[in-house]
Amino acid sequence: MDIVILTIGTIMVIVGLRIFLTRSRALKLPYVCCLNFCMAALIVLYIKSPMGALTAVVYFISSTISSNAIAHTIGEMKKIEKTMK
Amino acid sequence: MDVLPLISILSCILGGIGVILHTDYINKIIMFAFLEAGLIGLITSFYYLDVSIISSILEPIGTVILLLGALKYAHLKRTKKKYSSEVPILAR
Amino acid sequence: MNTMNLVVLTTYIGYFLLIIGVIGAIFGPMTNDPLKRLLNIEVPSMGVALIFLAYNETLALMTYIAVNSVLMLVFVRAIIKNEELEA
Repeated sequence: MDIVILTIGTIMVIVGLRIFLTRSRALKLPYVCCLNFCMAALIVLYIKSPMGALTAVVYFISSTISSNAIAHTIGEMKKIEKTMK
Repeated sequence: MDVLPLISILSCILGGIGVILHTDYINKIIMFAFLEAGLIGLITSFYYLDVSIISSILEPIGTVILLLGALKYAHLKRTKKKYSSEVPILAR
Repeated sequence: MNTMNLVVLTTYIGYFLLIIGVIGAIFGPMTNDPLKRLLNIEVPSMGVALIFLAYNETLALMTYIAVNSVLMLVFVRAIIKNEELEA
């Protein structure tokens, strides 16, 4: 078992527990982003084939789009709560 | 067992419990993204790479639909409550 | 042997997500709000996808994930229309 895979796995377990336990919702978002990057790295280290690299590229792009959409919506929701009050 | 299936299973369990237990929209959607990450990792560890590519393309579409729906729903609920409290009788 | 263990574990995780999701969608916290109930319903959907994965139904899994995205659009649209039309 490689030392790189073990390091990324340890980081991912810690980040997953931090996502589940943190109260604030603006602090949850960087952890989700970090978890997506770790998952892309584990996919490209697990599949030893060029198709694995393609899968990791597609997963990386789509998860970044999803995280940016969630971040934009947090700002919009805060704006709605401020103007309607 | 390797590291990728183990961490995907842990992510699936934590995401499934977290979607049920949180009560805010944004927290629920963040936990849903976490659950989807576990699902895609588990599909990849079975070496079904085409299904994994299709699933990871369709995942942000569902997240964006849910986010737009939650935003419009919160806006609608807030405006409707204010309107009905100001004009109680002529609202129909 | 190793792959067999992974398949059995995937089946158990799928059944666990199915049972937890169904109980949470019925008795969960603050399910008077229809959008929160819809977000709870996504959990047993992912459980069904994992059971499809454990029984090697690749085409069914791909079709189910694609249809689930469209179904989410229809349900969100229906919830917003219902909230608009209600007095």
